[in-house]
Amino acid sequence: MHYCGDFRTTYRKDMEIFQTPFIKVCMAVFLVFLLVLPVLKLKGEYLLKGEYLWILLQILIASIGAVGINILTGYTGQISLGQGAFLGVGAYTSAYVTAKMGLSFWVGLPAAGAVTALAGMVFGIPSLRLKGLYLAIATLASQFILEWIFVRWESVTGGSHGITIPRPSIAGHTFSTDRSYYYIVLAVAIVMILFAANLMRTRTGRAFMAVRDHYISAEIMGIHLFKYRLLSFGISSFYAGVAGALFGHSLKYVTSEQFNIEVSIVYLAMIIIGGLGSIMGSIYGAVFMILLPKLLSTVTEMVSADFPSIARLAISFEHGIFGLIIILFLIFEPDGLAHRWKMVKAYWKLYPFSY
Amino acid sequence: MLIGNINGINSSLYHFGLKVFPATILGGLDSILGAAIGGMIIGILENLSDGFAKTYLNLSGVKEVAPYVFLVIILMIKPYGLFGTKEIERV
Repeated sequence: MHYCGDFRTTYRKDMEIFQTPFIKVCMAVFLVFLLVLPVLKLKGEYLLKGEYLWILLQILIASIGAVGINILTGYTGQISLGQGAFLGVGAYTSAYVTAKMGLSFWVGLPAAGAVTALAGMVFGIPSLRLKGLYLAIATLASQFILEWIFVRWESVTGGSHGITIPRPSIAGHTFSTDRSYYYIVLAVAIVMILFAANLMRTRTGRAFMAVRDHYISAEIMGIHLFKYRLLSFGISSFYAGVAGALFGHSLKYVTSEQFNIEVSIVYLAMIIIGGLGSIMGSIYGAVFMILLPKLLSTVTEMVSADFPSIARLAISFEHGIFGLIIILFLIFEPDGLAHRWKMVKAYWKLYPFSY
Repeated sequence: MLIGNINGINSSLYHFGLKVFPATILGGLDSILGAAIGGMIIGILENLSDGFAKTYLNLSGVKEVAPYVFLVIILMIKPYGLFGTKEIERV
């Protein structure tokens, strides 16, 4: 998407992430906004209190996980129904390292990423021979196998009781409140998302897209299919692991129920709604999927406060409406939010001469 | 409905719905006979492995994952299931 009068004369210019000065300014303003948002005060009270801050925190964590699964499903075209379990592997690894081995969070986070990447690569091996629905079911199998391991391997995972884990700390200062923990999550999220955006401009990223578009053609052009598919599983799981670890530390508690099949489906829904094969799309999707249930429950609460007689009915309709919105969304917006945003930009670029 | 009669209806019925996937995929997606045979194989292997694990390895609850483990192993050997037709692909 180019603005009027914005011409590129070199390939280097064409490959930039932030292409115009305006976008750079926008990103800087957005970053500052994210940095000050939790400490903004209105009449002596924090603007973001309790649940709102928590939602923001969960959106950031979900963004990391969604970017991860988008690398695998959106860019490499390997559908995965195991993202929830991979989040779990990350959370349990970090929990084991910090709570049982007594090491710092800063060891636990990369360890979570590395162990999950390894697990992802092991469960990615079937992708060598499988594709489409068959691969989806094979990854579904990995979800159930991992979930079973979470419950049964009690010496490490604490079985069905789970593990209690501490919040991270630097040099004696513990990030015990959500407000301070937010900054750690924000820093990690920015690094991870920038890395993903950069990855897609490299040889590896282009190889991923070639595998997605036509794997036989890609192989003929000299792309080692097995290597790049496994790499994609590895990187995607690394993201899942980091997101899982951050999620575990945010709750201070890890059990197997937090990482069931529903989580996998929600993550898949995030990238389909946001836009497959788009980094920004994964973030839009994460925002959408985290905010929508909260919005619905707020509406339900308001309705039941005003009309107590239909309170029970409203609550039971909540999940149905959630599903309905997603289906309607997919019918009218099949290319995702990222695509819609592009269309909006294109419209305003040429306004009022849209042809 | 048959399952409903045997176990009673509750929300955990969806777990059984998910178990249908290994059976069909194992038999091959475009083969009805395959689905029937796949279902039987999955059912038998599931209960056999559960028994073995309980007696020899002292592990309980293998029943829940056994279908999926077998599924992955079989798909690694035969990517289109046992009776599915192989797709021929051209560029």
